Amino acid sequence: MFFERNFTIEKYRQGILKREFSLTQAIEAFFDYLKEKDKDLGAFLEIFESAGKNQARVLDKKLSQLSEKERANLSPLFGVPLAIKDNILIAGFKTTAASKILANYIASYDATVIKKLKKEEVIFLGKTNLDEFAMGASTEYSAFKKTRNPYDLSKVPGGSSGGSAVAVAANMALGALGSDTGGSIRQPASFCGVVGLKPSYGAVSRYGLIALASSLDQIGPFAKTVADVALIFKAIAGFDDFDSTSVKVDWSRVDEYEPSAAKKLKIGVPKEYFVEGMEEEVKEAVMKVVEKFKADGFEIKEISLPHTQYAVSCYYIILPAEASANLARYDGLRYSPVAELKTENLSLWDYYLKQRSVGIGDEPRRRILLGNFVLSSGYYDAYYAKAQKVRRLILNDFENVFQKGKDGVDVILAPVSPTKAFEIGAKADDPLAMYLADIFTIPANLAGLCALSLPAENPQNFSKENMPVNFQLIGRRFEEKNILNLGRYFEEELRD
Amino acid sequence: MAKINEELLDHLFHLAKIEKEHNPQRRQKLLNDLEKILNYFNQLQEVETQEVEPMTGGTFLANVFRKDEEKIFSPQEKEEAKERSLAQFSSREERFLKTPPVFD
Repeated sequence: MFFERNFTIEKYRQGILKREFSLTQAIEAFFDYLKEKDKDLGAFLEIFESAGKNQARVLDKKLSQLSEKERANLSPLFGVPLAIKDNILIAGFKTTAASKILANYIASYDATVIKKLKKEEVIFLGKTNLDEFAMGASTEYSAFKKTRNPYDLSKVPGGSSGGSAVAVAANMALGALGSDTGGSIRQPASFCGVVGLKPSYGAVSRYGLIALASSLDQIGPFAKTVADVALIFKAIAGFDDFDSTSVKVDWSRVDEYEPSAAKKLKIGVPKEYFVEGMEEEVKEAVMKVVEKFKADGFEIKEISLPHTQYAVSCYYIILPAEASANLARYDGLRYSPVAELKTENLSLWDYYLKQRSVGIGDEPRRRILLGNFVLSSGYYDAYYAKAQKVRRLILNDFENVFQKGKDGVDVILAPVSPTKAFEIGAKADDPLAMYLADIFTIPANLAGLCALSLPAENPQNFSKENMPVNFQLIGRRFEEKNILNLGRYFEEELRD
Repeated sequence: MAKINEELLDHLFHLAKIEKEHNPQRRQKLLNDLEKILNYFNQLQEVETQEVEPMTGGTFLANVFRKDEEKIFSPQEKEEAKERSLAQFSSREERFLKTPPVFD
């Protein structure tokens, strides 16, 4: 029962309230299942078996002391088993960002999202694999292990939050957290056929997230359904004193489903998102979704986002610039050293060189070098300053189409990735090819918008022969309610 | 447009505080990869940006300053967090953190 694709957080809650199972039983079953399943998939870097089982017993005891009414008022995430991407800090546990330079680092505090989830009394199953420092689109750049696509073990799960996507897709967890800097939630959600949300910049606190590019990063949820994603999002969103870019927004009704409001939303389909070189199956799947909305009476307009073609260049200048600064803090001193290194009798400079050279992998190294290049005098204006201006133009494109009134649209419907999951190894040696795969996800990050990635057809139909494919709904900044509502409408009324 | 030559590459390694790549094959691959990426970036030059204000961050808000005072942590939490942070340091002697010598 727990391990079926249609077993959701909502069903889990009903099971608890009706006393169909205890949390102790459920959580034990989850650990047994994931330990077996993950041998092939490699989604987890560490599992928190004893902490998780203890927590389940504590929560069972709490449950036994509550009245019926009190039970019904428990958090919707009470006792829900979640997986956390290993670039989000949980105090007392290792947080490695899948990098050797943090292989021994134990987090000294909880990220704000973790604090919030602890308040909801979720149960953490463990930490999931990612591309090193979240740099990648396939989880192949992890310093520790490969993660495989549950539908076809020879294919990648996408990335960088590949482990979190697989944990949910393979029914090992009911939900997960990832981070999305240029598509790292939405693209693996698509490759694995689960739902993933990249929140608006400022919706969720980044405090305790290992920073990649601070003007782009957002933490967001994965789950099996849009409704479940909305529950997790509501729990983690909100202003935080510890992140000065977080914003006060009223999220109290963000998870409410209102079909009649969904039906009023105007949808735009950007012509620049159907490019040459895109896989035919992906295009067809997204067009089928468009047709379903049309047939149901939705107002659908073709729109233009003319600077889309520059998004990859813009992003891969801004990201390395910010990342090279963010990764400068890894000195092999403050966040535990790379263990196996002999470092006696070295000067401080040589110590840094040694630690960083052994600790930082090829892709972060490439991006640090690139970041130093685009920021250095003589090249700054041609690259970094130029990219910041183009970023403004990309934002303007969105603001034009998102105008309120009769000319604008409320939501943009687009593909997530030009391809379905590709073979392991197919792009690992060609960084530019890997970067180009982010073309449809990057613009929402550059403009700070929210975007929801959800399966284009019933996930029960996905298989090795019919690999998953998602589409995305992009909304105005802080209008998560719109995309969640519309996504849920598609899932519940239109999909099959 | 710019090209990253051998000399510039070594300079970038220096700025990055990462040891130079000595393996000739890996070095060549790195130069090729960077060149390919920079060539791709050249497409930005065709965008007219004379009158465009650069977007310098992810937020449109003014900076919100708060008082530099501690909050949220209970004394016990504080002690634990302090101990956990210090425990991560590579080398310690009593309450001192040890690093290799800054000057030779």
